[in-house]
Amino acid sequence: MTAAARPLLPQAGSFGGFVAEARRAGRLVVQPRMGMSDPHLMREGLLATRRADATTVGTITLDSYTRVGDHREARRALATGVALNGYPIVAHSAAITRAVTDRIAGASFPVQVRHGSAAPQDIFEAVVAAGLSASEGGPISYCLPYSRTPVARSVANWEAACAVLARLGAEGAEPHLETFGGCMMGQLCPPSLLVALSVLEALFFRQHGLRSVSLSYAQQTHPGQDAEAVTALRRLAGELLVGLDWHIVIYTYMGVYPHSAGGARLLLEEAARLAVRTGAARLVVKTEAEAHRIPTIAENVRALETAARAAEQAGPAVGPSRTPGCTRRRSPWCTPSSASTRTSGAPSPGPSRTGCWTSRTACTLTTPGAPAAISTRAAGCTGPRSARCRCAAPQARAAAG
Amino acid sequence: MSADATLDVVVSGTESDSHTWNLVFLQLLLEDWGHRVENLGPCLTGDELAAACRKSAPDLIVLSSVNGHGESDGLRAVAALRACAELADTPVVIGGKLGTGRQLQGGAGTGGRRGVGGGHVPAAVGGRILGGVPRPSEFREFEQFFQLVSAAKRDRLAGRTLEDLRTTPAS
Ligand code: B12
Repeated sequence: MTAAARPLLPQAGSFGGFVAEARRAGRLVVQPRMGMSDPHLMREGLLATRRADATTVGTITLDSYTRVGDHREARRALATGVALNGYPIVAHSAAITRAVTDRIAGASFPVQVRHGSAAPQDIFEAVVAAGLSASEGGPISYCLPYSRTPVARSVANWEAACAVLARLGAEGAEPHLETFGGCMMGQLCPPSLLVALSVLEALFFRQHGLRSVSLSYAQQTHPGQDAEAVTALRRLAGELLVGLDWHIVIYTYMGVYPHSAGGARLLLEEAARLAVRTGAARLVVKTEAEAHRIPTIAENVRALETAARAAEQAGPAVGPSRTPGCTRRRSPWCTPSSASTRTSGAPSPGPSRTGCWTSRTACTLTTPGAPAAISTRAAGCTGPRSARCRCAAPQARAAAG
Repeated sequence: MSADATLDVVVSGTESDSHTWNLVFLQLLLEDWGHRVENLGPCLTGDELAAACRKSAPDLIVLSSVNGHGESDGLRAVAALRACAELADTPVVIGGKLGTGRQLQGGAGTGGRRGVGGGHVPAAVGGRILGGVPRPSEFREFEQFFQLVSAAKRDRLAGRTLEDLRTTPAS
């Protein structure tokens, strides 16, 4: 990222710090969209996310009543045992939410609250009261797709809400906000508009006291166009967010999802490859149930692991230079001279990438999760081993759970 | 097909549901079927919905909900509509993905009083609940419902014309 231009290191133990750490190690952070109204189930979901065979952060997705501020209806559903489409963080007491995340959320497993509210003040109060500090949204992207609220009022609401979260900064925590501008209506939005909104919302967050942000971009229908959009997003963020801790998060396709399990999986894997190819630090996944219903915990875990495997096979986001003499196929990340070998979907080369890099093509991955999988290095390859390779030198896996 | 009357239709989302493409889709579909559509958009409270419908006095109200809260939001919306004398008899139909469980995501329903998700649709609904996720090719029941309402309007209009003719003095 823009290490040189960033005097402020991401705070260790914070959401931004965790993601930066994973990125340095060449691991893509994967995250579910997950939220259940039953606190026991919610806790189970967070635990399963943490234990998944991937580098994960947890999610508490809020229900629609809480999103539109109808906490009375949310309480009624809790009282009558009707399942909501998410976790009602305001209707549940802070004590309940603390118990849900107790001994799960922390420096090695940050938990983010994802909502979709144009008036999130009470949600952020509940987030802070529960000891959490990461969320998402923005005055435009959580207004137009989520409410009838006039934009001017949403902006005022978001100023007040940012103040609630930024308050944590004074208490030593490092609150984090992610823009939802890279998604907006989920489909049929021009990438240029998504990029602009994501950048503007990140600037808004900075203006209102946040120092750790992420910029989203949702996978669209053309991998090449997506890679270019993320390259533009990265460049703009690098120029405009100097001094902040920031990273890019890719959303797996947010529009009408494939009905078949195979189609759903392919689209998810494509998103993971997009994230790796564009050097994004984090990916929010979608499950095989997406087109049909709210996914189960097991379906979420499967999606996280599928995405993690696809990302590993695509090679780490940041690679070392190509060893002189190495003749192996170039990854889309390679910059050198022979631009013709780049796939059409590859991003424009970043200025610092002078090398090329063999990554996964050099070694074969064996069983995922095996602590010290040994595999043979491709004959003749002298490229350096990637951080992801489990060949030869056994490497400790990320201690996520 | 008989020349049924063109209907004035209100399409609306429900109170907690912000999904909008479903409403866009329904508007285009119904316009394609030849009807006039007023699309109120998502996230209307019952009162806002009733006020808008009172103003435009539609022949039919189409509610759509896909966020999983459709059953309770839909019933609240219908209660608000039925509380207005002018809208007490207006046919209402709701569809989409009405619950978070699997029970409401199955096939399309058939009758106005059909049990849904273990509960029962109160008589007040006076319309249809299409609890499945019909694809365009599976919109037959929805279309049949429209034809019924449309034919009723045609007969009503014809009846009025006949009445007018009868009461016109011969000179
Ligand atoms: C795009 C999308 C979004 C966008 C919406 C942008 C916008 N403002 O429109 C965003 C990202 C904002 C979003 C947010 C949320 N979403 Co959403 N979303 C989708 C997604 C991916 C596509 C929906 C879509 O655009 N469909 C296109 C239209 C044309 O099709 P449709 O809506 O399915 O409608 C069809 C039928 O249902 C039917 N139909 C609909 N209404 C009616 C009415 C009648 C009378 C009839 C006959 C037929 C009918 O006809 C249509 C054409 O076939 C679906 C999953 C999917 N399908 O892939 C999830 C989905 C609908 N979302 C879901 C949820 C839960 C949410 C959230 C609550 C977040 C969460 N907890 O996950 C929030 C909603 C906030 C709120 N206040 O309501 C769930 C609903 C689950 C359920 N019902 O059990 C789904 C199924 C995803 C999932 N698997 O979890 N979402």
